Amino acid sequence: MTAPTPAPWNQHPQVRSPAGRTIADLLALRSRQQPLDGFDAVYSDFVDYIVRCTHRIWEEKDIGLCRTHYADDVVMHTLAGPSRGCEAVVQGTLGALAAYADRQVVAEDVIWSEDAPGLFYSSHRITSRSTLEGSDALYGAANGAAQMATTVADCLVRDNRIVEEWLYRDNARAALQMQHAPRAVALAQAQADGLGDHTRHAWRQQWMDRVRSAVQAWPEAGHPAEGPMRLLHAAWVDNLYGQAAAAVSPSVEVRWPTGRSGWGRGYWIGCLVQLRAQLHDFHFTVEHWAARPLPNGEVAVALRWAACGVHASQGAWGPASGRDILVAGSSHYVLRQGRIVRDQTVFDELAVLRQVLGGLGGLGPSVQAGGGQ
Amino acid sequence: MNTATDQAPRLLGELAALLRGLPGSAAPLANTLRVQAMGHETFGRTDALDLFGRHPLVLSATPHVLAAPDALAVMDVTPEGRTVGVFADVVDGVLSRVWVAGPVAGDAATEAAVPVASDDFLTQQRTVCAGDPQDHPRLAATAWPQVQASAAEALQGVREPAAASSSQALLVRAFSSGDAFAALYTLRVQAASVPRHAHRRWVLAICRLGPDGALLHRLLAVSEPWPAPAPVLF
Repeated sequence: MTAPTPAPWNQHPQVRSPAGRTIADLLALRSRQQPLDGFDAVYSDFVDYIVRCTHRIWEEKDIGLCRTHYADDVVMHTLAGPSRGCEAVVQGTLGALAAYADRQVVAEDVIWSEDAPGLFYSSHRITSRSTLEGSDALYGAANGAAQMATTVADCLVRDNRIVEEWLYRDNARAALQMQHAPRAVALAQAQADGLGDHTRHAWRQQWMDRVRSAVQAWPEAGHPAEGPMRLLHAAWVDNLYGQAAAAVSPSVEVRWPTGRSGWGRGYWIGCLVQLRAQLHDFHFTVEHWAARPLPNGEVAVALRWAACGVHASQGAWGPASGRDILVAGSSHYVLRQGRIVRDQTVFDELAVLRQVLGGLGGLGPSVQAGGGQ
Repeated sequence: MNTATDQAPRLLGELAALLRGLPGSAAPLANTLRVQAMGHETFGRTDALDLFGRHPLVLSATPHVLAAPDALAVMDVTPEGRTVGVFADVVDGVLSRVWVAGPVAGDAATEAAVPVASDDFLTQQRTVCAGDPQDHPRLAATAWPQVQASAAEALQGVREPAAASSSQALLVRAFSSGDAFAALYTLRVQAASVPRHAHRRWVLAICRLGPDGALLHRLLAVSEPWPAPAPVLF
C-alpha cells in the first residue's frame, strides 16, 4: 500500500494567512471555505480553526473547549519535556490564565499543510501579550510585569482535535521581561530536575538519538521549503555559511530568541554560527515542513527542526559544560522572489540553559558545583 | 484604475490617525501591526496606539506622499522644522507595519538581547548600501543608482564621528511611482573609537528622477540614533 500523497502546498488559495488582517476580519464568521470533514461548523477553514479556537480558549476563557479540540491522549512536546493527555492541557491553560488573565494571543501566521486526506498540520506563530496579575509558579506573585514572547505551536490535527503538538516558546526572553535572570531560573529548574525519578527525562536522550540517526527527507521538487532546508543544511551541516547566505536577501530581517534582532546576511550568519560554534559533534534534521502563499506575492515557509551536539566550547550559553544538548525549534521564513527576506526562529533558550546547567536528565557537573557563573 | 493612487488618500488619513494615537481609532489596522518609531518597537495594534498616544506625531496638511499598492511613504516637516519620514507596509489596503525616521523619545528603550557577532560586509570590498533590486520588484531599474546614492548621502550625514569604513546602509523597502521612488534604509553606524560601539538609525529617501535617471530632487529623513540593546550574558 502506498502512502497517501500530500496535497499541493498552495491548494485552497482562498484560505488566507492572518498576516496583515484586522481583528474584525479574523473574527468574522464565514461559511465553510474548504472541505473540513469532522470539524465544528463554526470554522470556515483550517486557518480559522487554529486562530478561532485559540481565541475562544485563551481570550474568551472557554478553556473546557480543550476537551473538544485536543485528543484525550494528545502529546505536547516542548524542549522542557512532553506532557500527555487533554486534561494536562486544560490544567496548564487554567494555570496560565490564573496568572496572566489578559493574555492576547495575536496570530502572526498559520503556515499549514494537509499531509494526508483529513490530516492537517499547522505551524502557528503567536506573539502573546500578557501581564502578571496573578501568581506564577516560576515568576512569583503579581507584579504588573508584562510579557511579549513569541511562540510557535505546531499541531497535527484530525477531526477537530489536535492529536500531537510541538510547542516552542521564547522563554528566556519572557524571563527577562519578567525581570528574572534566565540563568538563575534555569539553574533552579536544573536542580529540581535532579530530584526524583530520572527516567522521566528519558525523552531527551531518545529525541537526540532520533536526530543522530535521522536520514533527511526532502520536499517534492518545486516546494518552497526546499530552498530554506538546503540553506540550513549548507550552514549547519556543511558549515558553508557564505554559500548559504548567498541565497538569502542581503536585506534579510532576522529575529531569533532572546531579543536577537538584526538585518543582513552577516547577522543571519552570526546567529547560526553562534549556536553551532558551541556544539561539537553536531547533528541536525528538519522534522516537518510546510508552505503557504502570503499577500503581496510572498510565500511563508515553516520548518520544524531539531539539533544536538556536545556543549564543548564556551559561547553565549556560558562555559562549556560537556553535556549533550538538544535544541528543537521552528523557523518561519518569508520568501520574496524565491529568496528569504525574513527569518523568525523560535526555540526555548531557557530549556537549553537548563540542559547546560545539568537539568533535564541526570546531574551534570554545573549543578553539582552550584551552577557555574 | 490605479489602485495605489485610489487608496492613498484613505491610507494617509488612517496613518495620520494612528500617528496621533487617537484612542479608539476606527482605522483598519492589521492585528499584527509592528511599529518602529521614536526609539521604540511595538507589536500589535493596541501597543502601537499606546506609543503614539504618548508620543503623537501630527502630520501637516500637505505632506509629500508616494504610494504603491503595498506601501505608502510620507515625508513631512514638523512645526519645529524637523524632517520626518514615515514608511508603511500595506496588505490588502490595511496598514500592517510602520517605520518613522525621526526623533527618538526620551523614554526610548530597546529590548535586551543576546549579542551576536556579525560581519556586515563579508568581504574587504565594502559597499555602502547592502541590497538587491531583485528584492524590490516595484522599484524601477533606472532608480537603482540613486537608491545607492541616497544611502551614501544618508551615511555621509551621520558619519562623524563614526568609522567611515565600518558603517553601512541596508535597503529595507523600495518602490517607484512614476518618476519618483521611495527607499527605506536601516543604518548601522559604528564608532571609530575604542570600544567600537554601534548604533542604528532609520532613513527614508524620496527622490524624483529625470528621464535619464538623473536626480532631480531628493528628500531625506534620518532618525536620531536608536538606543542599543542591553547585552544579555548568560
